[in-house]
Amino acid sequence: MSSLHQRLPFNRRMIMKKRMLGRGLANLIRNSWLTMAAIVVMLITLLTIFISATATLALNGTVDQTRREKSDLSVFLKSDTPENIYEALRSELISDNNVVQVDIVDSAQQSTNLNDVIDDETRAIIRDMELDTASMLPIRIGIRVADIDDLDSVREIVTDDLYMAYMDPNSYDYQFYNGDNSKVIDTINRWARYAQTGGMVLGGIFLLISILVIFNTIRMAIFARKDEIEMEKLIGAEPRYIRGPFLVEAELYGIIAGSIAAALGYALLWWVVPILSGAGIATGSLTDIVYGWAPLVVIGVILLGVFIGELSARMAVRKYLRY
Amino acid sequence: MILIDRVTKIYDKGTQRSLDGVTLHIKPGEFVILIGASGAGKSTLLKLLTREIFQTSGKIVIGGLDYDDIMSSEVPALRRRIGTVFQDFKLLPNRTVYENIAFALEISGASNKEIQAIVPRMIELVGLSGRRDQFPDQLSGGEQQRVAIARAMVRNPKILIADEPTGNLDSKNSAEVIALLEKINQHGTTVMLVTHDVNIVKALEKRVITLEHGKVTSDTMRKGAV
Repeated sequence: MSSLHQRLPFNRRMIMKKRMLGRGLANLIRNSWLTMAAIVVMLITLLTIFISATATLALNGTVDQTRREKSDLSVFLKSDTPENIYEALRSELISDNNVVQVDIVDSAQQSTNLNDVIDDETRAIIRDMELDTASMLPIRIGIRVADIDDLDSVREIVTDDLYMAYMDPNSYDYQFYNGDNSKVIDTINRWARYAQTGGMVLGGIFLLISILVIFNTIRMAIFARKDEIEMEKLIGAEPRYIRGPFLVEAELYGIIAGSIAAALGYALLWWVVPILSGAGIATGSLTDIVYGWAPLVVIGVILLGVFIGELSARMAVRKYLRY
Repeated sequence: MILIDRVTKIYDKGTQRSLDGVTLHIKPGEFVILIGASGAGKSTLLKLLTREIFQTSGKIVIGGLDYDDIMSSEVPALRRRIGTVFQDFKLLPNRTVYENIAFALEISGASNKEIQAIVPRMIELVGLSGRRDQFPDQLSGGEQQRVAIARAMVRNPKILIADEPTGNLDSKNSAEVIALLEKINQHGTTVMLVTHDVNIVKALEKRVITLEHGKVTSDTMRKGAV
């Protein structure tokens, strides 16, 4: 290393950084049309990512809430269980804070229900075999709980020795019986996956377009200033001082687009959350995260914009601004 | 100050030697005129001195600095130590006289206070005091070249390389620019002037080095200026 290698003092480095910022800002204003195009494309990208992330959050929250709120728990007791036993079980269950509702379907009702859902051919087979479904089918204790993830107290009641003695041997422990709700959960789950995949695909496409547009914007800015850059090199400007304004310009795209995307995203949420809630979509976890962590979410969106801008600009500078 | 020892430059894939074993020694404070026809190797020599290109063989030492020891990351610092003036001025068209000269200090990390103190003195030195807020296209060729000289000198380099500085100027403006270079040389700066204008050579009592086909064919001290 020669005697030329001298690190600038801190205050000089700060002066240089300030100048790079100023020149980046000047570039941004000078290329106003290109700037606008780059910002709009980046804005669409960030909004797409923001919307798909919030939609995924809302749909996942809805799946979770539906699973928690609409899942029924069923316990099956032998068909000859005395009424006082299952009524005692009902009383104990209903006194539990997590239990919302307890329905008892006795063997006779179970048989009637079965008869309603089977076809004539099955009905004929049962008749031919002389099966007495009214005495064969177990008694179903349907338990609706507030939180399906908090079943310890319900388990404790059901597994009491008194009731375990009457537990149907074919369904020893309690089990889920979701019925039509499982279809709802599956549907919402599917939509959540669609939103996630669709958001990722769309976000990816717009991310690519953003990178290409910003890459080209910076490339054109470099070409427009070709003579100036040549002169800067010849009179001894450091490569980082030549590169810096282009990176600053692209970072500013990110800051502007990120700020607008965050503002538009929140405005959209403010408008759409009540509508979603009205339509039965669970927005609790969405609002908890997006509103509760608003500063971090906004900073995150802006930083994502800065990252996209910087990445694209670095690619352009690397390709077209060789020192 | 400047030692060029058996320097040869062959461009990539070329068979023609742009410079062929050139040896020169230029002392501190000297005013040297480098002449030669197009393709003689003058520009190649200057590009080697500003490290735009690398020699194929030989050694270059400026101010005790061996070019073989200079890393690519140090090239900007080297260029800040050498003032360079170009035939086409290379001024920023959207900046004023003041801003063009200040630019050379801006890239060095000089503070605004320092710039405000130095630049007006340079504008005065090159005789453009009334023109500080004008843009290059509002100036004559000679005035533009004086701005370029002020920009090259604003960091007070020990060496000034002037590559055909009068190439785009009429005789009156050429004379003014040469007079300015002489003035700078009198203040102790080593000046290396590249030209193919015979009138300039005749007008100056300076050391004249002639390059032909990449070789130094003469190196004489010219006496008796016309």
